[in-house]
Amino acid sequence: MPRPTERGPRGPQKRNAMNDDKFPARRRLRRKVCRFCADKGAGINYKDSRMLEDFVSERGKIIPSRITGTCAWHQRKLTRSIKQARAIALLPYASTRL
Amino acid sequence: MPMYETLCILHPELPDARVKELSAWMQKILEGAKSTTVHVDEWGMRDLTYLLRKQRRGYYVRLEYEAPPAALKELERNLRINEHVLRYFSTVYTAPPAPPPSTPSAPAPSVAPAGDEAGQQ
Repeated sequence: MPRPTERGPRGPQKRNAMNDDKFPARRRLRRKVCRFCADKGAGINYKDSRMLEDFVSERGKIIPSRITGTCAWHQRKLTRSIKQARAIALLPYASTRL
Repeated sequence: MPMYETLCILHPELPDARVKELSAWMQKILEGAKSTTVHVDEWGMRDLTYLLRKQRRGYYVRLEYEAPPAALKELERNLRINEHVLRYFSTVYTAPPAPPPSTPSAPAPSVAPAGDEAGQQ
């Protein structure tokens, strides 16, 4: 155990056997890819309720991009389309079945 | 003239003849307001995801047209008044992106000629 006066080089603390509990193991190894960036042909449209349903929870809430992996640009398009689809009753504002 | 698209939900209990009449009525309004290329796309009866005027279902009709902004305003004014229209929604129509050229016969994308000079200045 080093003496308190002995300081190591400053910098971000690294994970080691001593502080293992402070740094949870990395859960996500593979980086998520935005579905719309991967498939250039897939447009985001409010009329495509089938596709939009994938980005909405069972309750009808918009799923955050950190879960789905959608990039910020496409998430903004998606949010707009979901709200438009709700206005014309293609998607629910809130599911009543729950 | 911009391209517009209007999606409206008609009352589910309207007889077919009345639906036809209404879509013809909407076309007539548009044509009366100097719009061109009116295209009607009937989606038919669909379940609504929430109740609209106590109805669970609705008859969806989509109109696609090139029109001056005044025509859109006139159509929306009429849709608002009509009691058989449960809801309507208009947007500027953007054509869906063309499917990526998968066929080998498609011409290779030509590299843009050196037009950077104008952009750089």
